[in-house]
Amino acid sequence: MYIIFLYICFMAINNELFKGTLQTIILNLLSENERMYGYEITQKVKFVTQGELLLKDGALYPALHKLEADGLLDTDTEVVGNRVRKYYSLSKSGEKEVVNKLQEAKDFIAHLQVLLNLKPSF
Amino acid sequence: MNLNQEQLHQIKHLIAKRGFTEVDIQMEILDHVASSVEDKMEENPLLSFDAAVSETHRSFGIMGFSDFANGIANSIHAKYRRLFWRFFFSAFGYKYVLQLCFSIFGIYKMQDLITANVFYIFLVIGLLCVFGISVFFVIKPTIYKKFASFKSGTSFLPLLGCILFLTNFAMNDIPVEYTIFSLNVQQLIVSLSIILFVLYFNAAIRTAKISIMETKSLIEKYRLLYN
Repeated sequence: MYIIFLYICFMAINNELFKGTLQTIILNLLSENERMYGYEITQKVKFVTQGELLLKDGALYPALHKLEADGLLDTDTEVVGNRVRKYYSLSKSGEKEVVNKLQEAKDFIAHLQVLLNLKPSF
Repeated sequence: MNLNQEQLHQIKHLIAKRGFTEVDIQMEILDHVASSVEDKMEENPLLSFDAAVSETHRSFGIMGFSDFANGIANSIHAKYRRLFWRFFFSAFGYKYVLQLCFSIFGIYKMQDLITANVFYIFLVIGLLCVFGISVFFVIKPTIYKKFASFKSGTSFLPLLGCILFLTNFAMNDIPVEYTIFSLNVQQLIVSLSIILFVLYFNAAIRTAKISIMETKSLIEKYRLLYN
């Protein structure tokens, strides 16, 4: 029971940290995959992190739509297997922004390592 | 594996039963749920369609599709809200400052040259035109009203009445003799509210146009689900 409680706490903290970098993660995934749909993004995150981080649907779509509204993402809808699928891809300004966001994330991690006295494992 | 039309209809029915009736929201949930169901059935071929759907529905937590649907709905509203304010504030950019000042000055001076009654007639004619254009944009076939993008994009037009109220208040309730820096307060507020009205109307129409265009393109793609 205690272990489950600790696991839930760990996941909650992880997900809080995750939320702050959600846009960067989405932009980076799209820069690597050209275009993706919502479910595909959640599965990609699950696969890459080996199930350690789960991208909640309630958080993903607002982030996607915000990026779209900010002009960083382009969308197109396609009929796929008897249903309509919405694909997200980087816009021209999104391609520029992903570089800035990644640099910001890298700087933040570097500062965090200094603050927490962590040694990079690579 | 791909779900067949009947299975997709069952999922669509389940989503609609939960109270999510706007087609664009339904479709985004539908694709997400259908993809998840397909994955589950592929991972475990013995799993029935109904069991895969229940499992997927359960994975959304106690709130079911609500969080997900609210997230989509809020972001569609936010998208058009941002678009609207971007159009509105674009008129205050340095390129248009002179135009804006001249317009305010022009309307202010026009009130000196014509009587209040004639000005009121001009105002009423202008408002009738605005009302006509708004009605033209809002009145669309019923299918448009089933889309959150159409509803959100055209939601700014009815609020024009608030600015109209301000203009009316300025014309009727502010004493004519009030001045500030030798400028007549009533005329100044009327000029400002008319400009505000025009800018608001312009932004609302541009937002509505984009939402109608997007809704139209969605309708064309979603037709297969109505057939």
